[in-house]
This record gives sequence, structure tokens and C-alpha cells, in this order.
Amino acid sequence: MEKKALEMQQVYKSYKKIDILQNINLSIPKGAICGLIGENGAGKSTIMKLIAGTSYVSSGNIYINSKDVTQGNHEERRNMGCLIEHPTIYKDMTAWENLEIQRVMKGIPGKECIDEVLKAVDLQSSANQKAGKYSLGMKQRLGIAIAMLGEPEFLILDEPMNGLDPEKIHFIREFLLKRNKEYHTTILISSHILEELGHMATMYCFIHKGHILESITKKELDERCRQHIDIRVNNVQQVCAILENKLKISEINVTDNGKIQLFEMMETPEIISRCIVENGFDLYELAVRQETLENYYMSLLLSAGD
Amino acid sequence: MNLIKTEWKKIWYRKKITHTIIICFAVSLFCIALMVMAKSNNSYFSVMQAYYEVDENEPSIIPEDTELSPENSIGYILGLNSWNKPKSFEIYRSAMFPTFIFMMIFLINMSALYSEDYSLLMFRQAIFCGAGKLKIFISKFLVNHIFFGIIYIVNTIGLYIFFSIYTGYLSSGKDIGMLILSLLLSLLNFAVFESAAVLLVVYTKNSVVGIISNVLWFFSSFMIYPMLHKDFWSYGKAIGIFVTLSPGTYLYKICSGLVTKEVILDNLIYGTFMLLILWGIMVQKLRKQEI
Repeated sequence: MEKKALEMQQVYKSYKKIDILQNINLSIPKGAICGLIGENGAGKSTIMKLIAGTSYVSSGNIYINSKDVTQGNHEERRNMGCLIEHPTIYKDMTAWENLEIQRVMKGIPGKECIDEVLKAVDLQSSANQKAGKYSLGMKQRLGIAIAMLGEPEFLILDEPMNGLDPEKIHFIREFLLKRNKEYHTTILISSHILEELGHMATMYCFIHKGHILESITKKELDERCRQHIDIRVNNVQQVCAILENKLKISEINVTDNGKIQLFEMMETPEIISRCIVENGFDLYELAVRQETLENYYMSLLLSAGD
Repeated sequence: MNLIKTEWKKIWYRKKITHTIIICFAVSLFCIALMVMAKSNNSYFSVMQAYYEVDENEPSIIPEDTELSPENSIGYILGLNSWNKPKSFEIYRSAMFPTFIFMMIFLINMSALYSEDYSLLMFRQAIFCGAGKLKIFISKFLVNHIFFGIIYIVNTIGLYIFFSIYTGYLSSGKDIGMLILSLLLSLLNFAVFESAAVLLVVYTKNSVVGIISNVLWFFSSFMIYPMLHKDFWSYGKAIGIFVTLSPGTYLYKICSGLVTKEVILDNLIYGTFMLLILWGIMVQKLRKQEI
């Protein structure tokens, strides 16, 4: 059986009679990278805070490593590293001192780990500079370094790429992927740069107005987003029958809004169009498409009523 | 234990703590100058110089018609002096004089440290490390209180030694014992003030409210207690409760040299009671608070 790093069961969260999260059910297997996707105010940070233990559920249960942490079982959170909302750093201390404080707090023996994480986020050259003098991107990287300290089993990163330049985004992404691969670190990450999440995540959780719209694996998403031919005609049923009989196409799907999707003959769309027209049907649209994560998210939002 | 170590590390690394030490040292220097140089005919501060001049048989620069005697001191004026050795008494009182200034400095520092950790989300970071909120708050309080306590004790003992040398007074074991006991009792009262300040920061997540409320609390009790110290309950229950519940009352007694067995016991009971109440409220608040 697949081991779960995190499980949220029927979690509700309300604040001052306003429902922030409703019926959140989320399960993240160990070693997965879960991309949390949603608009501002959707509830991403609240979910992260509930998991990290700085906020409380109104009802429901949260399990970390199969242990119930809903009522504040702090021990289970010892192996977590978090960067939520913004980096927590003392501006009058150097990066090294900030990390040293975190090291002592986490009870990590040896100071070598500080240099390791500083190197990992490319801050070793400015380790002795006051954090207050850092740029936004440097502070963000220091925040990531703090979260990474002590090789945590579970990383929670809320918008970690904020303020980073493309080179550093690539650098941090590669580092996170390496950590995930080598140490089997479970990562829950949110970002508004969906393309970025697409490079990393092994599963996605789409959240909207406090509800989880969908939680799917990367494989499932790739399946749904794979290249296909969209066709709009005047008679969907008959055209499907003709395509099956005459062109021997087996992978045909009809969407709710009456669109035919073909997952074969991607290189020869002209044969399909000729076949439809020659059989006396009206062809309104024929296009080769591949959905992106962004398109998929937008279509989810549309189907949710927005 | 990790949290306590972390707080010590923060003290070590942070510049603000250096500033506190410098300010406290400056306060001590100011106090030395004030006690030694100040001249007037019946002020609290004149007595030290008067004793020096009497002992040295130097011509006094104080006007001739000024009556120089232990009765000039506020302790005597208010009838608080129960000591038989006026010189020892004045050295003690002069050394204890800046106590309220130190208390203000520590109070402001403690409030600022907690509100800063709220605004920087530092408490959150400790929770990420698997620590309980109450543990986080208590360890921060303990470490900083002990650190401030060391600064206070070092400064006050330094002043006491300076004044003893200045006046050529050789302290007895009882004098020193009394001073140490008074310092510890003062620290207990500091803890009550600081806990109240931290509690207000926990509620408001802002240091200003905590500082202002505590300074007002301190000064109001410090101002009214001398006026009604003999029988404050006769002024009504409200005044009586206010005076009884204010650490300023006990600090006033201690700094005035009125450290009787009764005062010691009252202060210990009071300090324990108030700390339990304040931290009990804190536990309840923290249980529900989202950081």
C-alpha cells in the first residue's frame, strides 16, 4: 500500500463566520511533489498553515505520516520545512546567523548543514551579509534555505519562486527536484507560475474559493491534456460512426458541449476533413490541439461556474 | 532546551541587546553622577554627598543653614526607614534608585521582542520546528528575563560597590544579603510587569499598547503608594485592590529599604499569584490563537 505523507479528511475552516475552506480532502503520497493551484484567496496558504500547525481546523482531520496532528501533535512536524507567505528572517542578522538560529531550534547537530543549504540556494558568497541588505530574491532564497535546513522529509513551499530571476528559478527548481529524487522528499508547493509547476509536480490539486475542484496525478493530467484533434460538425453521432468505420479511428471522445475529440491521425487531419465533407456533413471546425496546464485550470474554473 | 538555546543565540547575535547593555550602563553612570554631585538641602540625592563631607570633615558646599542628617532622606520623611545604620541605608537606596529605570528599559525591550517576533512570523517558524506555542513563549520570556536580570544585578551591585568605596563604608554580611534579596524580589516584580506586557502583546500583537499600559500602571501605583502606604485600605476597596495588585507597590517598598519579613512574604505570595494568573490567561489565549 502506498504510504501517505499527508492526508486531509473533510477539513473545514471558517474564520469569523466566513467559510475559508470547505470539505477539503487531500492525500499526498510520500515522495510526491504536489502543486497547489488556485487564485489569490482560494485558500492555498490556509491549507499550508493548517498542515504546518499555525492554524486550526474548524472540523475534519489532518494526518502526517498517518498520525493525527489535528489537535497539535507537534512531534510529527519536526521533519517538516516550511516557507509560508514570506521568509521569516531577522534583518539585523546575517544569513549564516539566521540559519544558525534555525539549526539550533531544529536541534540539528553540526554546523556543516548551514554551508550546504547556503550553497544550494547560491548564497554562500553573501552569507556574512546582513539579511536586511538582501534583495527580495535573496531573502526568498534564504527563506528556502531555512525551510531546507536539516533535510526535512516534507517541504511546504508557498510561492517559493516569488521575486526570483529566471536563472534562480531554474536553479531552485533543479535543487528541489534533486532533493525529491535523492531524499524522497515530499513537497507541497504553490505557485501562480503554472508552467513552473508543470516542470516539477507529480500531482496537482486545483483549489477554488475554498473548495478542491480536482486532485489528479501528472499522468492523469497528461492523459487529459494530450494532443488531439477537435472537430465541430452538424451531426456528431453520424460523423463519429463514419470516422470509426471508414478511417478505423478507435480513440474518439465526445465532450459535453458536443465537440468530437480524436486522439489518432494527428499527422493527417486533411484526410479526416475530406472524409467528413465527402460524406455530406458540414464541418465547422477542425483543429489540432494540446491542452496546457493553464488551459486545463481555466477550463476547470469555467466548469466551476466562473 | 533547543528553544532556550535558540533564544540565547538570538541575544548573542542581535545588536539590539548590545544597545540595551549600553543604555543600562549609561543609566548607572547617570545615577553615579546624580548621587555624588547633586546638592540640595533636603533632596533624596543630597544625602550621599552630605555623608561624604561629614566623614571627610571637608567644608560643605551646602548652605550652612541646611540641616544635614539622615532625616533628610525620603526614607525618613516617609517613615519607611527601619534600618539602624543610615549610611548603609542610603548607599542601599542610592544603588537601588535606578531600578525603576531598568524596569522600564526591560519592559520596553520585552514588549518589542514579542511584537517583533509576531510581525516577522518568528513564532510561526518555531511551530514549524515542532514546538508548542506555550513552550516557545515561556522559553523566550525566561531567557530574556534572566538576561535582563543579570544586567540589572551587575549594574546595581556595581553601583553599591561604587557608593561603598566613595563613602568609605564597609558593608556587613547582612547589608549584602539584604541587597541580594532585594534584587531577587525586584526581579520577581519585573517578571510580573513583563508578563503583563507580554500578555498585552499577545492580545494586540503590538508593543505600544503593552508598553503604555504597563508604564501607566507602574507610575500610577508608584505615585499613589507613598501617599497612602500606611493604610491604603482605608481609602476604599478599589484603591486597596489596585495598590495590592501592582508590582510597583512592592518595588517601592524594596527600593525604599523597607524589606521586612512581612514584605518579603507578601511579595513572594503576590509574585507567584500574579505570574500564575497572567500566564494562565496567556495559556488560554495561545490555545486559540493562530500565528
